[in-house]
Amino acid sequence: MMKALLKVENLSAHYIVKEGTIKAANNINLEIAENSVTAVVGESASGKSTLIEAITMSLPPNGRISSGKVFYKDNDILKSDYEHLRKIRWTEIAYVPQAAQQSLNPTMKVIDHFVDTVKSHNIKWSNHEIRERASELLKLVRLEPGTVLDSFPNQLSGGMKQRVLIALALLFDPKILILDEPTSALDVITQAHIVKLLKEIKKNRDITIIFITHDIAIAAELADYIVVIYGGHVIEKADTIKIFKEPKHPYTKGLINSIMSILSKDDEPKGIKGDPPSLLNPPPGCKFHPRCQFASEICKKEVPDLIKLDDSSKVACFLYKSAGGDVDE
Amino acid sequence: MKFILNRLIYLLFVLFIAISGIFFLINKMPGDPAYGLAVSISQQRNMDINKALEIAHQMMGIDTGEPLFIRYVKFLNQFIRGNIGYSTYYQTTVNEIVAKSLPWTLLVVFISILISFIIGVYLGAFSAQKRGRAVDISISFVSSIIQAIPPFVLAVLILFVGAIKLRIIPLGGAYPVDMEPSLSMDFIISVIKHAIGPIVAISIPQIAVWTLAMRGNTPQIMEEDYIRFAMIRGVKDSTIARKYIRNNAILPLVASLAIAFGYMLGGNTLVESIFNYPGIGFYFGKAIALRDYGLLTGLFSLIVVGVIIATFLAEIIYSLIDPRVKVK
Repeated sequence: MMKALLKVENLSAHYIVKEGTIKAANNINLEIAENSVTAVVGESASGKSTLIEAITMSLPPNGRISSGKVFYKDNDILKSDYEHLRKIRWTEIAYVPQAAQQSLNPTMKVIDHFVDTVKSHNIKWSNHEIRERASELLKLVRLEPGTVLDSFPNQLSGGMKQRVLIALALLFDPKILILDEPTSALDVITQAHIVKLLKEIKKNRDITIIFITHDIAIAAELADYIVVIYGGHVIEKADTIKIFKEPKHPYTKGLINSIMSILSKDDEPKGIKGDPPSLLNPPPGCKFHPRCQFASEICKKEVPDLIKLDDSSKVACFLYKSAGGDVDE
Repeated sequence: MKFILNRLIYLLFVLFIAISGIFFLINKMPGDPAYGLAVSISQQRNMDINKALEIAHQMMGIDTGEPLFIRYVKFLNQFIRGNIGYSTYYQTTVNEIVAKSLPWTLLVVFISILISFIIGVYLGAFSAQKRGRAVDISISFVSSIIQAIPPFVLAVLILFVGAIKLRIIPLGGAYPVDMEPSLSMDFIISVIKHAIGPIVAISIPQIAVWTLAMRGNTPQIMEEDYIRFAMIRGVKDSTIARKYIRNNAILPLVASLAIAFGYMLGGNTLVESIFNYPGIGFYFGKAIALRDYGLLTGLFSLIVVGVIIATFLAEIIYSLIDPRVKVK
């Protein structure tokens, strides 16, 4: 593994709501290697977005980071003051949140979003230079700069807006590009465009990409590494190829099988029985145990640690802990 | 362009309905609008009241023998030509009264709205940004009280303190009687001095109204995704406050702004009366007190037309500042 550019240590975050606290990210440990592409996959409401929001310090007002550290270039981002954070944002770490449809100011033209971002980072580009740069980026994402730059957001389609956001994210050639569900809410053709675009960006630039998706097919196509989140915990992290060939965690197995069953002609559905856990009232122990066919007594009591296996993949499951180092099947 | 044309046709239709409404309302009112004039004629010329009434009807262009529908057509005909009636008390056309009073009202209303809107928007946005803190709570508390104070009460207060106790503003009128209207510095300064009283009386409650409206709009905008995305992009707080929050929160207010302007044309009757300020409202008050039906109808129509046109302008302005409206 290459040098870790972003290192998350014991990160926990929760939301405060009327009914109590939602523990959406629990004790997360992650290392993101430089110039790699990592996909964070999981069901809806599994805490995928929370993890990313906590890393970028952009949780909604009712979100709190309760513990943990996030190292970027050996500095703890979570400890930096607001002004420092503001400067890192976009120049070093660009994060495109979900809801691309409403992320542009309806009363401002597309070009003004570029201008504001540049001016806020005290970069001495003339308006002409900003326009040139913006045009270049829009061309990269296959948009016609002549019309798009002077359009208002409402004049663009959903796919166009998503591409504008990606173009905006590349404005300062950030080290890390984080995308939350870049392809959801888009039609299949536009999805294919975005996936192709991200592949090109990955190929042509020194950039580390982290993206969230619930579409494991897109994860398979783009990512070098896949991180599986379940009930606010990282339950597995491995190379894309390994995870598809040989999923470790029972949940990951179910997830992979569910697509494989679509591809094969097998009539029997192989989805995962049961419902995802409520994060407001999570089950004790391993969050997956109520749905797991291998669950034993210990799974109901203790949360398994994320352990490293011999093939360098990581999994949080007692099946492997007991197997110790002999998982090499 | 098609949008504007559509609205224009709609506007003419509403105008027609409103003017007809006024005509029938006034004509179906009990009493004879010409009676006041007839009494003064009969006294002046020592004439029988019935004969005087006939003359009065002729002077006002009313033929009571005519059926209502014919009178209605005549009224519309006059109205379209721009002749909105005859004042029995001032013995002149309403147009003439409007010509000399409208500028004063426009001056006061325009300045009041401008001042109160700007201050209100700033205060409201500021208050919303400090939401929940002492400064926000005090601003909204004070605003809620102030917005409920009727302008005429303030007018009395201002007149009493400013003109009688402190003697810093004149007692009434639009400019000193011994001064000839001109563009000299002296005249302009004296016009401003005379207008200050009405402007302050109208502006204070208006400031509170805009403050509360802006404060109410802002939190909703602050939760929008584009605000969050701007923060994630590292856009400066001051830029977010200005271009992202305020410019979006202001949109619904601009429509109310134009409508407020229309209403204020006639809505300051009492304030203008208290300051003896010769605007539309002042003559409107006179028309009511003197039973001057002609003047009343004319000014009433004028105000209605003002409100309708202001509403129309509001829509046009809205479509200019909010790019989303055009598409629809």
